[in-house]
Amino acid sequence: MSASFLPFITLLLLTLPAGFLLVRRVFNAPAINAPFDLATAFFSGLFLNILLLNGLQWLPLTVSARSAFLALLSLHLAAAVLLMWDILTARRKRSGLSDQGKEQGGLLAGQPHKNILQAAPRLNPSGKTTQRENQPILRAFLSSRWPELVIGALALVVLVYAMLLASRLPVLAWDAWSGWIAKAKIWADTGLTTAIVPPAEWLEKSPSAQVFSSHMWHYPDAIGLLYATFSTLTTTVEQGAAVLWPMASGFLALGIYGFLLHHVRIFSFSSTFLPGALAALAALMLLITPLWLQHMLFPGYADILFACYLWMAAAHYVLWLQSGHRGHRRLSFFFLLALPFIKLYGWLTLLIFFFATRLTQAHWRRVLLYAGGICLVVTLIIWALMPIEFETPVGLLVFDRQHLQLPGYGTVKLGFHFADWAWLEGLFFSRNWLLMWFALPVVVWLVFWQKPVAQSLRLFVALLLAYLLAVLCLYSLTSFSQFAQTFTSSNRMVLHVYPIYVTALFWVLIAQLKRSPVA
Amino acid sequence: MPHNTLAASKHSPESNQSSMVSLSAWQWTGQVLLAGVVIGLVFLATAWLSHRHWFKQAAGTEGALSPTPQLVQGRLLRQDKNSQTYLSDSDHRVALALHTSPFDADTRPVIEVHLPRASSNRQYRLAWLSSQDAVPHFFILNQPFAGISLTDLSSVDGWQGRIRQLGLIAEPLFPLGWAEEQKFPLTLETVQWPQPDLWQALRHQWLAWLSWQPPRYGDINHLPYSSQLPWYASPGAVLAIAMVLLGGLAAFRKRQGWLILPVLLAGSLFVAVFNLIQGFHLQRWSQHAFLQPGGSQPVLSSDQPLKAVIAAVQQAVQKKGSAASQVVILGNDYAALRLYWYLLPHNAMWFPGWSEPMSATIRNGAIFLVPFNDKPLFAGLINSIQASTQPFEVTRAGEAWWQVSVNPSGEKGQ
Repeated sequence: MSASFLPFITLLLLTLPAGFLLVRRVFNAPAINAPFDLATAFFSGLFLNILLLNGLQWLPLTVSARSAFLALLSLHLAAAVLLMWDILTARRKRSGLSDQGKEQGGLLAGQPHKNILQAAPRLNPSGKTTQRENQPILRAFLSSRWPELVIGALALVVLVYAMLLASRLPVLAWDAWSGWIAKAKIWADTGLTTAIVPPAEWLEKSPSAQVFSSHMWHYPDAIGLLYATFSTLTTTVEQGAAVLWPMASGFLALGIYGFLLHHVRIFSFSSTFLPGALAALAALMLLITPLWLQHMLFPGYADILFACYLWMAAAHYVLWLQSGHRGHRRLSFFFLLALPFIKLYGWLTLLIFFFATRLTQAHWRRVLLYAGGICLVVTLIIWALMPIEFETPVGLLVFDRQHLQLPGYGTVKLGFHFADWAWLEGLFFSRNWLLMWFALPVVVWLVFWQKPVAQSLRLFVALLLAYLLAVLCLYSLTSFSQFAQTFTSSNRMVLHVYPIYVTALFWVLIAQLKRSPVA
Repeated sequence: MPHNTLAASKHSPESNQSSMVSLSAWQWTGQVLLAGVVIGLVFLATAWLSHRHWFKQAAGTEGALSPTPQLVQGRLLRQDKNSQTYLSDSDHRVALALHTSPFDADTRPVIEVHLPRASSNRQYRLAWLSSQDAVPHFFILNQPFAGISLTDLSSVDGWQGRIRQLGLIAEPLFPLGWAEEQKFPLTLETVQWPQPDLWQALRHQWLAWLSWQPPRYGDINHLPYSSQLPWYASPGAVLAIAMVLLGGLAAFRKRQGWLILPVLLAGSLFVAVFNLIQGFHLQRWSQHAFLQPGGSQPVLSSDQPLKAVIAAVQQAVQKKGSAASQVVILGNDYAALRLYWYLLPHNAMWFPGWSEPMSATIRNGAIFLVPFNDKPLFAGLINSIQASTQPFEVTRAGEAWWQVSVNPSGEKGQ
């Protein structure tokens, strides 16, 4: 591995203590298992960085990238010290207190199992040696933890390889060049508080005033700010970009593995080897999916990070449904809040998430049914009355069959352009998805029509379907359909829910093997 | 009688311990052979599926697929733009006219191009004129692997009727890397219409699996696992179908449900290794497409022509005063974006094209940079700005770039 990666990797790993403290002390969320908790801590810590950097932009004084970097570094080092102190204190308490006291004290106390080796009794080598000695070699291999370790090693190879390759390739994509990297360079040179103005304003004001512009001036600043902070460690931000995406993918893979392993434990698969390996395989399948791998190699769009936070929000929401622990719900909302900080589309995702989660409650299903009916009637009336044009307090609203002009936002071109073949080809007949979407009808059938299935798994699949439906509408009713025809951004939108789908798929598979209600 | 996981899971954990499957060495061998046979059969089926048109033609038109002499064995070695007919109006494309007598498109559904020194920094396109259309058709060939590009034309739009003219175009993916491209002249060995047979179909299927499409800049979702290849050319398809068959078989027998694990393991290993192979192709391509040899930092070799422009612009800006110059970069491509990046934090901004309102806001002393490969844009720009009221001066900054600036003295130049 190139030595230039190490500062970035260290910097990102340094977010873990702050993430742990945030999760345990602020959100008061219980531990699940080591892989899942690591993922939660990483994404919490990363979002904390994003929040702080965005906050620094509001300061009335110039904040250089180096100052921001030092501030973040101090924060994370302090968090690391606090965490160490907490762990040491908890140990001291445990050694001096009764068993009851052990369960109450310290950050790591209260975990269902203190390390993943204790996740299931089958993993404990004691008592199995004799039995394994009598088994054929392959059988013994499959009965052990070795499949999981092999899969984990392979995942690690994929991630390291992605980092190496990404560092040797230029950033090619539109979003990176016209947005993040350009903004990061401006902020690295002039300070984080420098405003990025629209191109038209730049034409007006330059060169009499020193102004900077980007065609993505209105996009969220999170990734550009992270890159600008990274750039204090080196001369270019591109090297840092090569590390962030594979690391986020790696922690998401850990999260998926831990999440499924948690359910393996719930199912009491105490004596079978299959589910643990399947959980690891789910994580690996995500990493080796061609489109996901490509986004790691060419870190040009924010979709991987967006998908990570959406998955984390969904996973914690499901855990809240299962356990009723409010810490998970708080964390779910915290991760949801990250979405608008990464992509503009995040606001729409919040709405989709809200409606999908309401579908799990009977009274909300009725409300949504009525609301949907009212919306349909209103839409038909508006369609009959078109074109509509009236002045609102925030601007002019125009709605005709070709355009929708929203006050303060701009004009959206409307029109039905159902790119059906492009969608079908993109999801089912291309090499982007390892043909994983062919299993979607089976998953939906098993989850919604086969009893008994837990509400929590239904939520996962409902969210997946709601998201796909929203994307399909967006790319069929607006001029966005051109991006479906060219197989470009429509596939990236699908990437957002792909981790949720992979998790649901393997969850269903594990549940079918058990043939029991899921959770 | 061995129990499977599905059955065992209904019992207590303790009973699971003792009811797990125990197979003998012979049974294991049988299972592995069974998996091999299933995967092999699926591979054969997909090979047939991807070459079915070819076989159909072969059955009905025996001998009709014999290669055209001029086209097949004519060794067109090291041809360049001066000795062949152009099919393109761009200086940065190399085209070969593969002169041949007209032939029916239906009789030649598969084309095989041998390019022993193929550059993956180029996109190879086939161009032809059909009797049914007045305009030429173009189709991007599969990227050569081991010097061979094999493409099934049977379902390609425009490959119909009588083919009057056929040509091959080699187009650089990165126009500014043209200097690098000179090291890789178009070297065409043969073009042939291969005889269909099962062995060829299997070989082609394998090549299709291993062939890799180089990325086009700014187009990440096409890269490199785009839908340029059909699903049955994907190893993932074979894996998925084999898994379904094996899983179905195991479920049917109700004995080896757990067999899905080794299948999944082997399958994921296969896909992961396959993706890594794809990555090696990517790295190999990137090394001569982008990277300067010997450098510790990855530097875009395609950026070399930009460096002179950047130096000249920075010098001009320095002469006029740092805040005085407004640098406007025009062009909707990667080079324009790179230039914008290099010139920051100067007063530089990139625009996809010229618009009339811009002329009103351009300040005295502004510098325009237009990528050389965007001639229509440049011509439009010259017309627009010379028609405007401000005294513009147009100068050529280098071979690849034009510089347009407002002349403070008020004289127009060319």
